[in-house]
Amino acid sequence: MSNAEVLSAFLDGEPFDRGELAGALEDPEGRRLLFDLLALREIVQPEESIPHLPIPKVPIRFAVRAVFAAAVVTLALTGGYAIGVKRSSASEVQAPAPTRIVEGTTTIAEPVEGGMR
Amino acid sequence: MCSGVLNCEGMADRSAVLATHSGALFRYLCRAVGEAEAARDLTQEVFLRATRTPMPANGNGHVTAWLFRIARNLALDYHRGQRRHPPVEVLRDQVARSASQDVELAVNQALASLTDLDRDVFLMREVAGLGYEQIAAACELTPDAVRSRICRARLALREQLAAPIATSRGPAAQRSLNTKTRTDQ
Repeated sequence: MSNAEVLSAFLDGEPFDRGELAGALEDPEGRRLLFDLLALREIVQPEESIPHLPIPKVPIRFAVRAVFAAAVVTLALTGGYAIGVKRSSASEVQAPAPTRIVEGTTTIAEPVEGGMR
Repeated sequence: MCSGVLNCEGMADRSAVLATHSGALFRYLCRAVGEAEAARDLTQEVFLRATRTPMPANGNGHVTAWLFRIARNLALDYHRGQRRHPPVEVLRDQVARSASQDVELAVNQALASLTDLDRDVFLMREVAGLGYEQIAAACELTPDAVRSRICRARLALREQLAAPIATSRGPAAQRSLNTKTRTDQ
């Protein structure tokens, strides 16, 4: 790692080699860089104060809606099934009595031996 | 009933997680987009998106990375929108601008000169206080890549912000540095 990388990792509390840090700090330019990076950290902080940001309560509303929708669908399916069962058992349709009977003869053509020609 | 997107069991946790991260997200977005008003709106948008998607259940580090990934995508979208529809420049009274406003402007300009990825990696570390692992997860990089990008961004910003840094460093630190340098020689 270069001096800059060692100092950068040191500033960030990330792992670094102590020997490399000692070497970087022995160099006047390394010390200057360390001071500059600390100053840089200070000046890049935003001045704006953190506003009060309300946390949306969307999930609860979504959950209520989803539960309601699921209940409606379940009710509709159960109701439809129940109505269907009731109708099928209560109103069994009887076949009408025959008014006349048509009798006919059937003629079956015997196949010729040897298969089709 | 409450599975997937709804994730009922995590609703209370989710609110707590969002409340915990709101400050860091706002600060990151403030610098990432350069406007407090836009940052406020985008932070709210992060909250909304976070409530509509399943929260990772692998611990706080993953949740932080997940939230910052959402924030980063929103910031990138914001920049794309700005490039398509550049805002009308408002003429400001140059004389009335305070020194701190000058520094703000210089910092925003310096940050804008970095690549999107370098800027975001730097801001997540320096302004939002994320660790290298979390930044790596948020930006889909390796921790080593994060380390070198942060270092590169710092060096670039140090060069561009030499004047505000010298002012911020203060005379005491400058004297100390000069003394130490003379002792070394």
